[in-house]
Amino acid sequence: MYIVIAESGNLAQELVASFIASGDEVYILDTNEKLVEKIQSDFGMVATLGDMMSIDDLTEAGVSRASIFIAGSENDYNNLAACQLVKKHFETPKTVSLYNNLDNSQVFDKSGIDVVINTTVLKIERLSSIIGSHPMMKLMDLPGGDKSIIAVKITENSNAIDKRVPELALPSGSEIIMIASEDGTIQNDMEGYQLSARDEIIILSPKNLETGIETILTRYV
Amino acid sequence: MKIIIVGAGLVGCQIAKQMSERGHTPILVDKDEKSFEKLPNHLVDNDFITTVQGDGNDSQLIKTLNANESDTVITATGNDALNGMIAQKFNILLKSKNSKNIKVILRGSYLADLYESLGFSAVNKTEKITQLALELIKI
Repeated sequence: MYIVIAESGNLAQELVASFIASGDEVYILDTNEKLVEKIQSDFGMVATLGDMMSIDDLTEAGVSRASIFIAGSENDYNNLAACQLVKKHFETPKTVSLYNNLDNSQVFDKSGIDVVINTTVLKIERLSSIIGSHPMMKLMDLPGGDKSIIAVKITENSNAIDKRVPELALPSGSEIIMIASEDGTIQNDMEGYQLSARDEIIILSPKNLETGIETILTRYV
Repeated sequence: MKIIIVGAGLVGCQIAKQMSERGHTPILVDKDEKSFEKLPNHLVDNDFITTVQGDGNDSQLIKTLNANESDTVITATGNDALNGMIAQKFNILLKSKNSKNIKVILRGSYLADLYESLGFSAVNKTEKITQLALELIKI
């Protein structure tokens, strides 16, 4: 299988090693000259300097014969455009895009890209599996410094159990981004869903209100 | 006509100015409040142009603009891929509206075909300027 990976930054070397080890043919397209040189020095001519939104550079990288195209840059909009461009011009069977910002989920879901992976959710899942039963953890501070994303697990005796989101009286400015049940089901109807013990709640929180939100979701009176 | 313009660069500000002078009511959105300084003061002070300081790529902000009441949306941030993403966000929020009323201002040519194929109206400003220059020098 021939796989073209664009703008995957620090992941590039691990991905190349991993795909080569599994017998696949892989090619890196990246604007980072040092990274391209390093990959060429370690693995041979499997990387080239180029822009993933240029038809010429994509052609040069052999996207027309690729089975999979992966866009992994830090910029969601560049990944979106590159995958859509590849889908339209090269009819690549599988396009894969990473994205960071949960606000972009709907656009990516409706984009026509075959596989979309939210890196924030991936990090949440990984961290959740590491921290196990810890009821609250901060996942990231958002640019601007006045908001953060936190994950709170509903504790066994929490007063929040059986309540719906509008009944929770979360602090003003906070917003529930995602509710995942213990079995991993993502709840689409967040307003109507009744919370259960061990539900994982991902919340956009104003700075310094994280502990207050944790208390609301975990306290037992 | 209600027009939303995302991006208060030279193009965005010029479109807002021209539209307001023709009696329309543009809303101009930009992260950087200083970018609105390019607009003539009298147009802003008298509410002929509404300026909104914020991220035009943020769904919550887009909702507050009441975009479904607008006739045209123009994305002109200066970044082609970002303009395309913002156009797609507006398109999702506008639902039944004609996506041709969403204009994507582009600098390069590769993405113009893509955004046209998604139903938007793509304007390649580099191509337009080149054409104009060639006409002016009669080549």
